[in-house]
Amino acid sequence: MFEARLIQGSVLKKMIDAIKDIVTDINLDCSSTGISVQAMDSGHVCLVLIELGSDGFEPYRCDRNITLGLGLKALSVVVRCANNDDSITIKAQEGTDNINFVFESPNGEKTSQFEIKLMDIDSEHLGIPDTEYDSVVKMPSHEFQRICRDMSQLGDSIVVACTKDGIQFSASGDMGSGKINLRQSSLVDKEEDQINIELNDPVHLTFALRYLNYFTKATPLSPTVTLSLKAESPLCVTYPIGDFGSMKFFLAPKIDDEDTAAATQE
Amino acid sequence: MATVRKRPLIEMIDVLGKNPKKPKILATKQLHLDFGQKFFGPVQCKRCGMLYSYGQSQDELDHYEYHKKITSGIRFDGWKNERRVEAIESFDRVSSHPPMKDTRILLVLPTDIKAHLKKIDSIIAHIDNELGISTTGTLNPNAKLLMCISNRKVVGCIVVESITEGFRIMSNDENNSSSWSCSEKSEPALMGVNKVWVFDSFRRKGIARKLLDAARHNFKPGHIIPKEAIAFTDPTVDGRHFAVSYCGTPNFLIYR
Repeated sequence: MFEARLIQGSVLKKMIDAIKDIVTDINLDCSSTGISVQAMDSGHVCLVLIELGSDGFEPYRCDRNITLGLGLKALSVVVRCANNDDSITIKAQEGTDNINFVFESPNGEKTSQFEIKLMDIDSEHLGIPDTEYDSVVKMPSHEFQRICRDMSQLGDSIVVACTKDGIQFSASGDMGSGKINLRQSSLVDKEEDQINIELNDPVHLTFALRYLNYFTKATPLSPTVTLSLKAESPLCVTYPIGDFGSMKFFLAPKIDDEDTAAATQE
Repeated sequence: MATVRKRPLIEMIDVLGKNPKKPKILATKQLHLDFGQKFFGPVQCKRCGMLYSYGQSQDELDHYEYHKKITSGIRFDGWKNERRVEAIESFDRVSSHPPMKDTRILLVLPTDIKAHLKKIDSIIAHIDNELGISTTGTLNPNAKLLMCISNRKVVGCIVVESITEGFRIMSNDENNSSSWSCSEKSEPALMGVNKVWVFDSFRRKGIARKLLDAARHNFKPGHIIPKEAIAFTDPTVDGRHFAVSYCGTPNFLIYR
């Protein structure tokens, strides 16, 4: 028997919205410590990692570790039926191939129940190595979303350069080019508007904006976002979810391609 | 004093067309995540045998096309005046298979009309491609082709040719089928089996055996070639199994 009630149902709605363009189905790995999701896109370019601790749910009950395979299409249809202030309860009985969703309005007047068929999704559990990043940048999530959106008008790749002066995002294309510089700020009143750069080594990396624009769909989940960068390694974009979980996106960088560079010069 | 050189208009358009000044865009290549996932890097398709890169859209598209080509077979709508040598009611080992509609073996000669040969050439090219041999794409003038048609598809094909001698295979080691040696002494032979091919999903049903039987009966008019007088070209692993079982001996004849 698995049962978990999320008071803020909107969190689930936002999470599903953020990943439904990247992957088509997910496995919810439920254990006594919480729920986790690991999903890679079909092109092996980015990976989504969701971790929700059991203390974010009230109540949370998981008698045995259980894996629930869900198609995101069905899931997003169902969670869209929930109001933002509803609480969402996820229930799954052992031995059945259905998962139940119960939405309750705050005053308890309206309850809705939905059932989705579970899927048997062949997936493997990947060990994500702990990485020591060269630069870790914490910034307002809406700022990051804005940068990615603006830069995608100029080109399909964004260059992220982190130095001791700050972080620079740049993109160029047929039309022209653009650069956005952000400097470390500590004098802002609100903590979530701060830009905080922890720099061990300067880094300079290129990423596909298409994926970053998928990631920034998670912006409503959190006021801040953390970008962890390391040379020649995947970027890690982290959106904390309250104080009980996080949503992480890993994205493989793009590198200068000598073969195609030579081909285009000819 | 600077002079402005006047160029004809056409030449200027030409210049513009030939050297459009592209803005320099740095070409970049998207890397992939490697967290040790199962389906990563080169994958070999179990059905069509193609090796391709999982997750690379162009490769997957190529594979899809190739897979479709291999698995859907070659369409054959039939000819008005086809040379039917045998009609097949059912295949030996087929029991669960749906009934075969209009299954027959056709004989094609290199002297047949051009329209027929054109179709044959495309079939030969397809088969050679699948067998992995360099293709001429044509039926040799001294060769005969027999093909088995079922449900408007070419499900099997055999090309035989006239030969005078063959060489006996020496190696007795059947388990190691990929390597073998043959005698240097030639023995008389009449019919050479140039290639044998059966459509993937129709294998192990005795189609090749039926084709070869038909070939022996129709190779020379009024004469049935004995099994001992046939020789094979350099066989594949599957081909060798077939030849051994057909001739009833691991020491069958080969020729080049």
